[in-house]
Amino acid sequence: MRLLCILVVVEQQALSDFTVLFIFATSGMLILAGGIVFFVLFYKKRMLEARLREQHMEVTYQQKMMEAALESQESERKRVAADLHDGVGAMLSAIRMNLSTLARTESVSTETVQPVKTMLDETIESVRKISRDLLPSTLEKFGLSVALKEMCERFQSLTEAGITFNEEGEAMAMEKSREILVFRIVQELINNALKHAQATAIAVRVNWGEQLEIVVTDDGKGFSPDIQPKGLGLFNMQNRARVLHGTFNITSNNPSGTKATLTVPLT
Amino acid sequence: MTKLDVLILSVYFQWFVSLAVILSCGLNYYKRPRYVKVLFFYGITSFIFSTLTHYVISRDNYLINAYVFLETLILSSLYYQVGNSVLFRRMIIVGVISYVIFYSSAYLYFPTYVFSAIRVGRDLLLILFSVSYFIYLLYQLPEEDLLKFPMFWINTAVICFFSGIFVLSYFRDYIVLVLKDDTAGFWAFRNFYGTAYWLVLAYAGWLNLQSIRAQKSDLSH
Repeated sequence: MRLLCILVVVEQQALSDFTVLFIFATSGMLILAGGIVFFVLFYKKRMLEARLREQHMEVTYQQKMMEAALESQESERKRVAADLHDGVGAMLSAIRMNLSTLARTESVSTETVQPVKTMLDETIESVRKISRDLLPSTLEKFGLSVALKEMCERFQSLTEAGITFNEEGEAMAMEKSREILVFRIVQELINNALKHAQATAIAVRVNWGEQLEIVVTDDGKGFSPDIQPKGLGLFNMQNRARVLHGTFNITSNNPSGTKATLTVPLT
Repeated sequence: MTKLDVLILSVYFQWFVSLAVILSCGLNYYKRPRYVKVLFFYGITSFIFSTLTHYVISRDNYLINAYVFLETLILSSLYYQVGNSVLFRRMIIVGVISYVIFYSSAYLYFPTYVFSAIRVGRDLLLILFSVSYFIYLLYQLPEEDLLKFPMFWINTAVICFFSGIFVLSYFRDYIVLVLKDDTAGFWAFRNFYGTAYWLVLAYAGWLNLQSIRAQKSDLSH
């Protein structure tokens, strides 16, 4: 009987000791397993963050590259415009003056001089036009709103197409570098409508709200969205919109009419 | 409620959740990836063996040993299906062959410790595979959220379950031979823990089912 009691006590002691050992060892194993799982989760999170950072850096880099390319394009245009205006334009004007003097002093008939004068006048006008297109001085002096209006009027006077300009809201000042990008997009859109779509009516609507929205619609022959454009015009417009942190959408109601919408944040 | 009642309850729980795995992995069976199909067979095997051991051939430890062997093979084949790395697959083949040799040797050369030995072998092998799979996963991280990735849950379940029962497997013979009675608590713990394990596996199967249904609806749209 006594021996049985001793055996029971020993067995209970063994059970108790084993339970403690079991709890500690199992907990240790579970902590190890859990640690591995959490490490994987943590590592994955870190990796994703790093990848996102990398993607963001790449986008920023591309943006900066695009900005630099557009900036250098603009400064090159400025230089060419200045050269044309101050160099070629001034020389042509001087030639015209000399020609008039020559006609007065020498025995040269008016019939001979007049066609040359006309040709010179046309050349001077062409140089001025090219110079104005390259460097929109109105934009520099009076801002985007006036420059867009003036551009529409100029296109209207040069072509047979009807170009209307509507503006809603109060025009807000933007950085000049941003204004020129918007100007170039609208210029390209009107050019495309006249040159490729053979539009007879173009409407430019500018809306100054929380953000600047410009909608250009035309009644031209439109385009199929399935056909990849050959030129760089559309690509350049999209790039400019991206630099502006804006959106650019172009839809065509094939077979006629195109609608382009540019949205640019003002802040 | 006695400890024995708790043990019986835990057995029913485990039996029930293996049914959940069969359901979550069996629906849309033909469209499931191979590893989910393997999980489906794992659920069926567990269900059949649970039924056999508790209703037909009660307390037949050799039958449970056969289940241990099958479980190791099934889970190894699951890892073989998901690992696209040659090295990882070679490791699985070598591991399984070693286990088969070890399993046979245990019966032949140290039958006294066979119950503990084959379980410890299984636990170590599966812990090794799951840790290796996690390492493999670190190199081949999926783009999607890891918590929505079924294999992450399966692997987590495997590593946590087999680590948790490792001590129990190691001391199995000691518990049976020395502690004899009053050990129902350990087996109940094992079964309840197994219930959680099967639940996680069922969740992984359900996650995969959701992604298949989402793909189907995308295609129909």
